[in-house]
Amino acid sequence: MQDPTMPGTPAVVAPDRTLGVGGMSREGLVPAVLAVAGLCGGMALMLVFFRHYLDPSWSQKVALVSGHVGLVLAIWMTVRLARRGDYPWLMVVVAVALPLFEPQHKPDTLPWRMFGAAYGLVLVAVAVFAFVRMVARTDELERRVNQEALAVAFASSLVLAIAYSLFRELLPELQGVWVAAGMIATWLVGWNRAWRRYR
Amino acid sequence: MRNRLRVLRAERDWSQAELAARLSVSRQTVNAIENSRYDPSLPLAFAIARVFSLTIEDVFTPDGK
Repeated sequence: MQDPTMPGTPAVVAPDRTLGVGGMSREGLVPAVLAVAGLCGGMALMLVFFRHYLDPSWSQKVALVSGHVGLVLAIWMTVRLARRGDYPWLMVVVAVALPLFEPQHKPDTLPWRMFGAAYGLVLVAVAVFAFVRMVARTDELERRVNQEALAVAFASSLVLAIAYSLFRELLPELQGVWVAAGMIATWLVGWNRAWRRYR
Repeated sequence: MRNRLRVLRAERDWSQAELAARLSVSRQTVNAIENSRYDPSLPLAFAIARVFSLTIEDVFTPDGK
């Protein structure tokens, strides 16, 4: 089957999801909430273990296992969102996940540094994958929505960056992961705003 | 731009989802076009006209006319 709007390219039928507010699917809400809960809970429990990883108590070992369960749940739900093509929800998960780990606030040990590097790389890879797949699978209206969302994200990030540079002395030091999360968050605001217009 | 998409669809007893599948777009896109919230690109307008075996002018009308 050929795409009637682009001769010579295969047809891309956008999934007919039940859209809630702002073009986010209702079906994706539960997996996204579970993924975020699994990530936050899993990370918190892993922190409990890693603070005393050289001499862990019984409860800290339980925290380690529970933390893994939380992270596995988060990965499972994230993969589910990706397979369903719920890319805006996937971006929400990444936006929440990015600031969860700030390497400079953690103990300066090799396992943490390796974990932090792998964690950041995986999240960035998921964000890039989600964005590329989303753009590739969208039809022309969704592409328009995405374009407007990118415009909002770009303008908001620019304003926030300039505002931060003006008030740097008064504000706490800004971490790189917060900038990335902020960009994704402003993109989501733009996506929501554009969907409302075309709904 | 106004259009007769809803009427033409009703004449053929097609749902929005069915028309969307024929055009390889999402149902939300068909809905937005029907409600004149979104003007389709020229290739999609041609595709819509072709699906109904009509010309573009038979489906879409500029607002002033």
